[in-house]
Formats: sequence, C-alpha cells, structure tokens
Amino acid sequence: MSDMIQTFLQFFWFPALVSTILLAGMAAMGVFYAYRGMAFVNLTVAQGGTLAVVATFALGLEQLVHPQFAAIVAGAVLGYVFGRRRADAASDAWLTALLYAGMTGLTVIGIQQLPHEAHDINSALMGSAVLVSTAEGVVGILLGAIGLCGFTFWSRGLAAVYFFPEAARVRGLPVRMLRVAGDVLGGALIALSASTVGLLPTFAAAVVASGAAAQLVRRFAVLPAVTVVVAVTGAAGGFFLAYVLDWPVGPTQTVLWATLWAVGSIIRLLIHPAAAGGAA
Amino acid sequence: MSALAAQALVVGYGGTPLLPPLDLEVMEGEIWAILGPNGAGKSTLMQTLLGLIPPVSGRYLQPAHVRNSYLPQGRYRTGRMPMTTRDFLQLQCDRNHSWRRPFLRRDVRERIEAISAEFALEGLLDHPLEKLSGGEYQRAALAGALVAAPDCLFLDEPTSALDRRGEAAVMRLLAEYARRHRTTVVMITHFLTSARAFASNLLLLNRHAGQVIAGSTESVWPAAEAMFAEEGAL
Repeated sequence: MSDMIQTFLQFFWFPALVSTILLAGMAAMGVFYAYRGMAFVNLTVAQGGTLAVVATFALGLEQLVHPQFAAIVAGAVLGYVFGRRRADAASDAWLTALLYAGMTGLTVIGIQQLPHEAHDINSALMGSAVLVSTAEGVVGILLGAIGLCGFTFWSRGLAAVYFFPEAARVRGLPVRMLRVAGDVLGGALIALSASTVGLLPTFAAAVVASGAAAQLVRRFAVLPAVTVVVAVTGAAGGFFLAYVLDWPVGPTQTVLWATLWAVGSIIRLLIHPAAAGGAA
Repeated sequence: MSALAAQALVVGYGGTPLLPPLDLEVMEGEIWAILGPNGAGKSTLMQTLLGLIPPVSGRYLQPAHVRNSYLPQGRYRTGRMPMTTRDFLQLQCDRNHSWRRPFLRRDVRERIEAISAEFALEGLLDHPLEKLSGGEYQRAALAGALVAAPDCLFLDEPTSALDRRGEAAVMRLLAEYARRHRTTVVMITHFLTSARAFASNLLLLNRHAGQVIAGSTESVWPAAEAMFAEEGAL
C-alpha cells in the first residue's frame, strides 16, 4: 500500500493538488449557487467554458488566445449575466435551458471538427483526464485558492448580500460590488474548473458536495467550511481511489461525493429523525 | 435632533409621481406609523427614504452619523437553508466594512446575546429559522433589524402575519426597546389600534384623494379614522 501511495504521489501529486484546490473552491462557491437555485446555471456556465475551449481550437485561435484564458473570460461573462437575473423566474429557466442546449450542441459540433483533439476534449468533458500542464495547473491553483478563500472567509457578507439584499444595502454593505465580484469570480472559477478538471466533477463539487455538507450541519455559519472539508475529501480521495481502482477520476470523485451525501443523510436521520429528507 | 427630513419629496416609479409632494421631519426617538390603504405608496415612500428607489423630485436629508436598518415586508425566503436564528442574527449584524472580517468580534457576539434576551429569543437561537412560529419569527426578524444597533429603524408591516394579540405583544417589545435606546422608528402598519397606542406621530397617505397628512398622533387621528372608515377597514 505504501508503495502505491508513493507511486501515486510521485506521478500524480500535481494534478491531484490542482483538482483538489479547484474543486474545493467550486464547492465553497457552490453553497451560494445551490441555495440561490442556480444549480443548472452552474452547469450552463461550465458548458460555456468548455465551448470556449473547443471554439479556440475549432477557429484556429489557440496560438493567439490560450484556451484556458478563453474559458475564464466566457465563464466570467456568463456568471455576470446570470448574476444580474432572478434565477427563480420562468423566463430565466428558459434562458438557462436555451444557452445550455445551444452551447452543448455547438460544443459537440466543434469537437466533431477536431478529430485529433476529440479524445482529449471528451476526456476533459467527462473529467477523466489526469494530465494538466504546469502553467494550467498554477492558474487553476491560484484561481481555486482565491475562490476558496473568498467564498469561505467572506461567506457572511456574501450571504447577507445574496439572501437579504435590501436590508444589507440599507446597512451600508456594498451590495452591487459584492454581487458582481462574487458572480464574476464564480463564473470564471466554474469555467476554468470545467476546462481543467472536467464538467462532471465541476458540477458535482458545486452542488453535490454542498448538499452532502448540508446533511451534516444545521447552521449556515459552518456550512461553507464543512462543504470545503467534504469537497477536499471527495476530490483528493476520489483521485486516489481512481488511481487504485483504475477508474476515471472525475466520475470517481462524483460518486464519492454522492456516497458522502448518502452517509450524511443516514447520520442526519439517526441524529435528527424529524429532519429527514435533507436540507439542500 | 432631526433623524430624517424630506423636502417637497415626490415618490413614484419611472418619473410618474404616486403621491403629492411631502414635507416631513422625523425627530430622534420618535415612533412614526405610516398608514394608508393598499396601493397608497407606503412601501415606495419608505424605500425612497432609504435610498433604495430614486425620488421623482425633491429631496430627503439625514445626518451622516445616523445608521439605518430596514425590515422589508413579508417573510425572508430562507427556504431549506440550514439557518438557525443565531445564523440569521449574525447575517444581519454587519455594517459597512465589518463583513470583511471572517470571524465575529466578541462585542458583536455579546450584542446578539443581549438582543436575543430583549426579544425573548434565547431559547430559540439554535432553532431553524423556517420552523419558528409566526410570532417567534416576527420577534426574530425585529431582533435582526436591531442587532446592528441602528439609530433609525424602518419596518414595512412588521406584524402583518400576527393576530391582534400577537401584534400588540410585538409592538410593546418594540416600543419599549425604542424608548430605552432612543431609537427612531418609522413603520408601515395596518393596525390602527396599535398605531394609536404606540406611535407618537402618524403619516397618512391617501393616493386616491391625493392626500398626505403628517403630524402628531392626536392631530392626525380623526383623519385616519375617517379614511379607514371610508375604506371599510375599521
């Protein structure tokens, strides 16, 4: 076992670290996306980041614009656009569905035009790629860490702004600035994560990890921190488990978070039978 | 000392006035009740005074040191968030730049304990907010509006979900708090009896008659009574 761990650390420590930090940042942000009813928006923004990567290759722009940069910009723009709208309105559900369907279609068509990169892009889409360049990894670690710190340390201010905006504005909180900063950073993080570690784990880290954490805690004050612990457990544990079992990384991480959710629900049921049914 | 003043203030949406020009001066420690039928423009006026909606014309003035707090109409939609009463109070305590601190200062935690005691919430601090009864929730919402120690408190129908008895109990708590801390209160209410019992001043809005009457409770009361009798609300 120790040999296995040593080999894992020798070859995979860097992609595992990138994946873990990016997905922990995603999970910290996901608390707000999930409770704002924007889980599907999360997936749509992730799809936008993936489309940006595919588009840079399909249009032959990869020498001019780094695909990762294109993904970050696309995600930031989509995060800003969706942040300005009410997520619970029917028209917004249609807009989200339209963008998701349209961008997914364009992504698939784009991949068809790129037979040489198709396998790599598909691997990225499913989160089964484990190789990441040093430059991409460093950018991922930096943005992931910014998201992780921002959405955890300032969770009180962000929650006040997102969930009690009028009262927060009257008390003098910079509501507009915080909303835009949170939405743009969130969008950029989603798109970068989707293009670096894959769509599936990106979506799962934001929604499933925060949902699993919500089974275990009854207080919002500790929810972001517990979500990060769940996310790190699923991301790092899933990466290692995938290596041991020779499974694809992203799906393994996703299954691990889903398992943590189930375990959390059972614990919740045992401790607080009246609260059965979940909090997320 | 003036806590708030309005000079020829016209409120409305998109440049369309809702009410005639309003002149008003609210003094420190006063309790003002804004009365009027549905659609009279009460919430619009309050949100204009708070700077949430731009006025059509005129202006409102408030000394720079005055700190406001606002409790909007209706129940906060916290849904299935794991939010206890304590969490809710912690989310309402930040002002200006204090949200930047990741951890609450000790004096803020003490303030939360103190306000909980004043509003009889000690036993409910660790209860989920969504599970509180109507009366408990209104007390928690009021405590949330007061936890940042505002000088001027704006309440939009703070007791709308309560029966007369519950409403009177919450109003007594609020009036007692305002008296003890010299907090100015501006509130919208449909409860005439409480407005008369607890408010020092009334602001009567009647959009249909193009009427705005402001003054002490004694002086405005006959007009309020007449208007609500006409509306069939008495």
